[in-house]
Amino acid sequence: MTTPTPNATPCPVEERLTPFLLGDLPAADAEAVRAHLAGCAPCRALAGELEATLGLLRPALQAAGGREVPAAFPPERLALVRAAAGRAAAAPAKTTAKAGTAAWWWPLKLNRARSGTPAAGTKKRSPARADLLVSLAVLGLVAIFLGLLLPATSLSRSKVRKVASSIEVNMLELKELPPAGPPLADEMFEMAPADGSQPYSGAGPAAAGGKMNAPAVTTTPAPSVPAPAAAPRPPRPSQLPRRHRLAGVTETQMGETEKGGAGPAAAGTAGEVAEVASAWRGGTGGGGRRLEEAAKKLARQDEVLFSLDSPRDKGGLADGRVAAEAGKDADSYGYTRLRKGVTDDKLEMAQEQKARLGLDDRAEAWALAAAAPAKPATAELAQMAAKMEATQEAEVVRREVPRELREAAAVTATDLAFAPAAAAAAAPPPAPPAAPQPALADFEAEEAPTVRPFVATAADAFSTFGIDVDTAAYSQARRDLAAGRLPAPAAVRAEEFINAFDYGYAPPAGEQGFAIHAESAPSPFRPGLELLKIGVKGAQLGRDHQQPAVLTLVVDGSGSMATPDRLGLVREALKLLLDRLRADDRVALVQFSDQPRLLLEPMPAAEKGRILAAVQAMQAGGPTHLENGLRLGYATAARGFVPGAANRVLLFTDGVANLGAADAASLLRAVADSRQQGIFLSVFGVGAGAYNDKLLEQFANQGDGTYTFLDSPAEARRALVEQFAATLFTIAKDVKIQVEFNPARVESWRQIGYDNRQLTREQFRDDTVDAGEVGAGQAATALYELVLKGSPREPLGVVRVRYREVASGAMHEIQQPLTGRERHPAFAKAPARFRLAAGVAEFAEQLRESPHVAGTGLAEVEAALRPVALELHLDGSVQELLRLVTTARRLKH
Amino acid sequence: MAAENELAAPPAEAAARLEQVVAEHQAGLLRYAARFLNSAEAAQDVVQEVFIRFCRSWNPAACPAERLRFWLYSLAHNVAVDYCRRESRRRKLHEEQAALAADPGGRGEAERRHRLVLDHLDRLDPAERQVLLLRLQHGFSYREIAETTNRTEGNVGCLLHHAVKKMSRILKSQGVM
Repeated sequence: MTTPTPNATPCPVEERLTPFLLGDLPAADAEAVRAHLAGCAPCRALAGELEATLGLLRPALQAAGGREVPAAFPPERLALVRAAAGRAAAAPAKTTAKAGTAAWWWPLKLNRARSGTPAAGTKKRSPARADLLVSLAVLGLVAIFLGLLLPATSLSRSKVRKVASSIEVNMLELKELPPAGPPLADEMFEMAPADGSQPYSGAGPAAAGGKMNAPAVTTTPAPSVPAPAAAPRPPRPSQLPRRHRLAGVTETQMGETEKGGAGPAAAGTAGEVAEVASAWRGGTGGGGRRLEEAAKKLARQDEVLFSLDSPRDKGGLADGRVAAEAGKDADSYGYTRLRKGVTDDKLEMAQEQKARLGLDDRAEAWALAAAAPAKPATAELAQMAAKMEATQEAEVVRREVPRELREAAAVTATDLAFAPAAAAAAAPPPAPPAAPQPALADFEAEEAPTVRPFVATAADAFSTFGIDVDTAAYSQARRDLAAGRLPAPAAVRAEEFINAFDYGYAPPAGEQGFAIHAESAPSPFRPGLELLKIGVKGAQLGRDHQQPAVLTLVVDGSGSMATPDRLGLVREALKLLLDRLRADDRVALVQFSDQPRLLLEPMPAAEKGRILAAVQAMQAGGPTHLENGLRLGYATAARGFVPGAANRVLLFTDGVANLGAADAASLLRAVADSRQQGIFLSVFGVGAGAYNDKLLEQFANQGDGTYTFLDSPAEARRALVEQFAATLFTIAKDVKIQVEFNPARVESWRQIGYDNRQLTREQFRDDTVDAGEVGAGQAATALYELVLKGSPREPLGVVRVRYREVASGAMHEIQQPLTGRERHPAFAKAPARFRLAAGVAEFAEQLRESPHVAGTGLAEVEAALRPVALELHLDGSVQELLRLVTTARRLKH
Repeated sequence: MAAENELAAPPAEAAARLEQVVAEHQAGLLRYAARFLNSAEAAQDVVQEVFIRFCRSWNPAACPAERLRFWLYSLAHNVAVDYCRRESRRRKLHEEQAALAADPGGRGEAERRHRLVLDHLDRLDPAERQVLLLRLQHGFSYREIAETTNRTEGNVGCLLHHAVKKMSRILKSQGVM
């Protein structure tokens, strides 16, 4: 083989030759390399060589056998490993010190012993004995060390009591302090967003603009304190959460926590936080009377700050500083300022900002918030905010409540101020008139809506329904059939089966929002019936019309998500989504289990590294408190609201949620309210089994969102990459369709599917009715079975589509007559896509065990779909459908 | 860290973990070490040391389970490199000849052809050898190799290319190609 002349200056592409030959390069790079190779002879020669080498190397390396490759790890060596590990447990310090040397040589020596060197045998014993002695010595030293160290760090009850009482004795000698002044500066900075674009509300929960006392709150528990004799038993020390024990809270102070029912351990909402704080402040219960008095005095003097200090922070220190500050007016929190390192210029900045925004009083800010359009939760939130006014509560919240929950509570209280301001400042679509409260469907019921019968046109010529572009039922059925079981009939929604396929509708021409395509043909399954297919296709968004996306990803982090097909699939889906986002899109990440955690503030998608790192770092564990997670998600979305962008919350969950009916109802209301603020919702379900399908569909409906079930990475790719624009960019809301049949031509009609989206004839023009939403380029298909009469030249009817355009907020209505010219004379002559739709609908009806299809079976469906699959052989989804039909047929017999 | 780990975990759990890891990874690690060092006994020693170190210093709470694989392979590489440094070439040849003498007989044409190629594998640098083995023998993706070797993916691709290029030169000079 001739050696090619080596390149004096190697081509820059050369480094990528080997990955290219191995097939590791992405398509674009591979194309570039191929193009380069076409023009560069030395590189071509090198590539040839490399290919030959790889051809030799690969089989050589991958060959399983070989003289030098041992078959398995022999058991005697495994015993050695176990022995070494056991010795490591007994003598930790020694083995870690000698990890590199003794153990390395020792087994080799044993090898030689096995192979017959007698000298090695004697050597074996002495290392072991020396090991033992040294390890005992080290263990003794470690024990002494720990014994000395532990008392200093442990917080035994008696020690804590001593320290607490010593602090209280100091406190008793302090004078009463003047009320606090302006809000704690750094709390304000925590609440103000980084870019400073949003109006500063000064209404953070920690902003204690008011007085430092909250006599209303502290005295409430006091009167309710029963006589010590009747006090309930204080909780056992083990019941106290760790943070309480560390904070020096003794069980005597916790005596009254039982009255709230929920102990401090489950501080799930801000309301409970308030309860916890008040319990700490006011709880007395059993214990020494001196302690009780001290506690009351503390409450009166609002010295909670000091009594909850860690034992390190001696009262004496606070004593000196506070006494020095006591002379200043309105500045008792000066000590707090000092402690927190709040400098004067920070405070000035904060006050300046407040003045600039014209909010010179926290009360004014709250008045502003209270003037916002009334929402059902306003009263609760305002109440919560009022409770959180007190400094000591804020301080307690700040110190003891986990940061994440504090953020959740904080944001919930402030979004009152943010959201109306944002909505007012921006120019969003005009809010629709206050919609009637969503009728809470009974999602507890397991029964499907009953299959609707044929309707005589003379009785009712109008078929009105809200559009549905979800496909979750099909994904779930696919998952069930792949697992070898038939899907539950109640979970089969025919419209979602039909919508899972692409029928090749042409997009609308001109400025219209939708194009209507209608076709009909005789039904192959029941002679005498006609199948009418109506397709509605939404407009695509051009590249320059695409709004930026502001996404809040809310991911379920509960224990049930810990399998690779759930959280792992969600991670993959998120990575796919992130690849698809543009640099000016924004992403925030919230994860929830028992508490919601904001993992990522809203940040530009250009910071892909950080986002991917956060996505990768998500772990699962704990219960599922869906409500908190969604609330934090909506609050984050409200905080990061960008007018003119597609603001959306994407929820990834397996639906196994601890939700009572009351919680679900309130959550649905919260979702509906946020929808009116312009934040949409998309729900992505993962996992199978105990999957609360109906509830999640309700959420999606209420949130003007889609509901997709991700059963595989391919489906995630389809929903988030291929259907990216459709998923994220809504072009029309409240899309309703009405078909008016001509009584002279149609004797009776039956709609296949859309069972839980039916509307009355009057609701079609009622703009307050919430119906489905359609994303850019999305299509929906509805099928009817008709009994015809009269002459074929008569029109079948009229199709009307009424929708609210998202960009402008105006309602539009388009209509198209069904002239009868779209009729195909025979089913076999109809286009393949039409026959596909018919087959899918029949499949869904069979799985649903609908009485209308009792006369036919899955065999007919298969027979009808087989030629379709042949014609559409390039469409993988059709092949998959045929496989599913075959599987279902096998499972049914 | 190791002390707390071992004192904290009950022995039964540690033993079960060891069993699981051995069962899962022994074949892959043995193949890697064998190809790296071109010697069966050495491979056994290396893998034994890897498992011992696993028992001692693997803290499941500190590291997610999917990183175990990367950790094991990188540890195997480090141990193998240490072995190379310690053992003289003379001793290795001595072992090989002994093993060869004990060889029951020729394994066939394919085996001999592979031998021709693999005997020269130790002319590569350890880093290049590692990347080559991980990619071709174990089918790691570039990202996985990057995590195992603590390099960037571009670096991995570059190393891989150099490894293959070097091998092609060696094989040509030896007349194999």
